[in-house]
Amino acid sequence: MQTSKLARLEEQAIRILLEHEEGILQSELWHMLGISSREGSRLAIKLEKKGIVRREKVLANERWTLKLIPLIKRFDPSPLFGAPCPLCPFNPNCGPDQSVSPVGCTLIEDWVIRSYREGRKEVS
Amino acid sequence: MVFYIEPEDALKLIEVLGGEEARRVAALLMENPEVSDMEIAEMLQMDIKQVRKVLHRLLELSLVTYVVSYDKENARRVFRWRIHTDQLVSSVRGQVVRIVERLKMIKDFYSQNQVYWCGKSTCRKLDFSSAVDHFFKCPTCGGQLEPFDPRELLEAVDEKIEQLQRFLR
Repeated sequence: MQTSKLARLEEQAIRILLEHEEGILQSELWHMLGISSREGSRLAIKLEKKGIVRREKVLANERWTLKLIPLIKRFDPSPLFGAPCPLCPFNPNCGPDQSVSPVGCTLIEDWVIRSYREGRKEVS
Repeated sequence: MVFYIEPEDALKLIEVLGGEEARRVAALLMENPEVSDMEIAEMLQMDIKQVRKVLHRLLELSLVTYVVSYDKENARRVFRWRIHTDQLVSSVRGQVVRIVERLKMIKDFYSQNQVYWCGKSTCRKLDFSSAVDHFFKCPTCGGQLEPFDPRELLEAVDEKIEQLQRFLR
């Protein structure tokens, strides 16, 4: 199987696994991805090696098969969007016991207030 | 625990950490792994010095790696770059810890002091003794300093601390 195809399949498999927190039978996953069991096994081994899934032997429809339990979690970075600190020239020297104090910093205050007000707007 | 981050979210996060140009370079590297700095500059129509600066920033954040080859024809080394967004979560955690510490300092200041402000978003707020020192005139714009009600800011700071601490759990 080509590396790029495997990478694409891996991406699709991860998206499906994220929607099945309790796990999914590997045959169901192959079916969803439209791949053969041979391609699927190769993909499952790769996912297991990367620590993305745990493979568990289960009895389903009177046959022993493998269930893929996701060990992966979706990371939502949205609370950090718009944060001024990482690009601020004072970033390395700002904070407790540092030469620059964040107290009164209009950039960080504006960011916090803006994000708070946007959150309220979405709720209402 | 392995974290998955949507490619679009990864790019937004790279923009937070490295700016708009870092986002453009990262987007290009996601589509075209192992391109050289010269090729990036050409494809994005960016200044080569700026591309190198951005790549250096991404390298500091452990988000890119490179392989060096030797171009015999032009007698120079060629650096080919690859992006690793799987490092993004660990790279961002350090920043989050520092931002949380700063927000706690801001929270302490506003909860423990009577604060005065001229009302202009670009001017700093002052505690009582600093306001007295400046005769209740803003040291930046010269406007009249009035008592500042910090309730909304404190609620906003609490909410942001809670959101950011979820990253660290």
